[in-house]
Amino acid sequence: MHMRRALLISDDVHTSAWIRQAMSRLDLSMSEAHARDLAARLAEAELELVVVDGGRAPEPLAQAVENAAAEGLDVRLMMVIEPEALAGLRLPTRLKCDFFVRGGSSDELVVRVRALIWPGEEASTQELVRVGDLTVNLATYQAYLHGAPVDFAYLEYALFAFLVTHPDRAYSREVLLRRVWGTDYYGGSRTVDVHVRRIRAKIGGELSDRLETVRNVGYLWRG
Amino acid sequence: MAPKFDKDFVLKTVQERDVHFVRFWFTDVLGMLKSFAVTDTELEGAFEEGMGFDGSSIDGFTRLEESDMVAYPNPDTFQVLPWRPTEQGVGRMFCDIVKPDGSPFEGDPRYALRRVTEKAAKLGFTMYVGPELEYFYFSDDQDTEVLDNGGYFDLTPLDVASDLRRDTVLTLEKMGIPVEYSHHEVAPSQHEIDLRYADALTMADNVMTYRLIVKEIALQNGVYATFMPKPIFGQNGSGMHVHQSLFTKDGNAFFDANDPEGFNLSQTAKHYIAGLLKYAPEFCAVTNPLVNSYKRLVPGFEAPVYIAWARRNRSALVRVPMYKPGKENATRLELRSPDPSANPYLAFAAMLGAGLKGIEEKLPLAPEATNNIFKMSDEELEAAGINTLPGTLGEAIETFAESELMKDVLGEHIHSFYVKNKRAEWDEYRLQVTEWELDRYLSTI
Repeated sequence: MHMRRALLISDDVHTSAWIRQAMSRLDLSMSEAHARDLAARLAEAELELVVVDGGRAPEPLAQAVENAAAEGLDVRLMMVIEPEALAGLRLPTRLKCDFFVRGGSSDELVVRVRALIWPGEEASTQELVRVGDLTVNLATYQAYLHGAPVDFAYLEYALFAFLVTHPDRAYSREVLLRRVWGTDYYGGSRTVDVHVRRIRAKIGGELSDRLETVRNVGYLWRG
Repeated sequence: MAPKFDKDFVLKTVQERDVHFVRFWFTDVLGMLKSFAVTDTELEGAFEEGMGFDGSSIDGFTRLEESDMVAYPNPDTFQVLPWRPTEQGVGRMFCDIVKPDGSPFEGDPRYALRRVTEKAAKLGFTMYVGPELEYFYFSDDQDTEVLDNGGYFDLTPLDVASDLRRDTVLTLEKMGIPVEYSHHEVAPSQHEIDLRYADALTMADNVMTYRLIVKEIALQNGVYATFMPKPIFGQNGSGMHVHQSLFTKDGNAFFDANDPEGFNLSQTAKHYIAGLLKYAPEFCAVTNPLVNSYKRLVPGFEAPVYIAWARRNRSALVRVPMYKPGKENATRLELRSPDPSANPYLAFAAMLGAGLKGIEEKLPLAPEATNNIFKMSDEELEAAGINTLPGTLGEAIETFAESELMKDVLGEHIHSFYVKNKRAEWDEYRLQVTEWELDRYLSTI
């Protein structure tokens, strides 16, 4: 699984907010636009998913995306529709697509989108951790800050991933050594301090304050 | 036990970050960084089988009959290079060098350091190191034209070098090398960047990376950075003071709150210092490897000359920074003789070897040097039993050649190559007729 660029088309602020919230669990870099701007936005590079809020008449929007796909854009389509639109629904055939009927759970939407753009990789929703502007993808070992990659070395990543997936709990250096470095590691607990410094240097600013030193205990990630 | 997914981490990162080349880094015996590029598609195989190369042209590596070498990358050291393009980027890993039969290659400086740190580990010790590297910026590599006339801690407003230093520090931090301080040094155009401590092997890797980054950032800005120990006559030279301590699983092995002498130093620390002092002449050729290194080790420029230790005096060979209450982890000592042209793997190995030998021999620590020693005449020093470091590379290399400890610590292969190479360097220098001689003698004799 790796980060994908997605576009959300909606003219309704409530629907778009709900979809955005639901999809925040996915490793997507998502932009938003109104229906009237769809054609222009489809020209954007590297777009991999379009989510359209089609309401009761999804066909015109779906048609526009399908046409773009026919012209060579490698894009998938997710249609969010009202129950009333089901009766006459025609699914586009020239691109991979799926639909989601409003009223369903956000979990369902996430599973469908995942299957659409990461077929075969839709195992867990826990693979992505978001903290403010930071995203950690546990499946690819990548961390992104404001969309830019953070170049962690292996042990920095392993320690950081452990802490952010176990937030708000203080861990002693010994426990961190055992959990991250392994029992065969011989090097002393100071190694943990060294790596915490490096992580703080790499994530910088406010985020590094979340990696708290707990006096006489160890370290804690404030979730 | 934590699952080890380090190789997977590298392979996935290479894929996700669109890294097309991974540079395999290693260091020759003289401390030069060597590199060859491996494409992303070859990486998985390289983790399993290593990458073969011809070692016969690498300084200190092989005799011709056994030139085939294999480089095994350490996934823990994988890092994307921040100064390379982000699209189709470049990563690097430090390698261990092995022979075709799979056994470690004795000429690999990283292996020499690993052997000593493993010996320390058997005694329950981990060595932590924090070096301070000084260097000069010049307009180019042809001349010593300085960029500024600033002095120690000067904040020079029109100083192109402070921007350079900031860029360098930011790049180091992106590479996972946290910086403790950076500031303008005493001489014009001279700068210092102090690295946060790390274990000795990691820090030796860091020093190699650091030296490259300083030069790389200078180059990008159209100037030249040099780690030459004494580039300008009459000005301070560039040192690499090395702060060091030993830790056990219970904490800092150098700290003792109940030290009867009141230094807050443990017996272990005292033996270690005594070891450094006793063997300093023997390892000097390693920590100060160039003809030019010995132009720095002269009185009057804050460089050590006398083999003594002190808490305040910065001309002593070993300085013990004053203890601050509650900072027992910071208890350490600072060896002030090394310079930044040294091979960091061999230099750290030599220091640790000497310190451990001091512990093993339970060497007693001489009294702290008083300020008087820096005013004593040579005769008074000799009477007081205070020795000096070798005065030239020629002297240092002969002392090193005789050293059983250095032969043991660095291994026969590196030791004998080093003696041969450095004797040749010294001979080449000795035969020169210098400007000084012409100025001094030609018109009068």
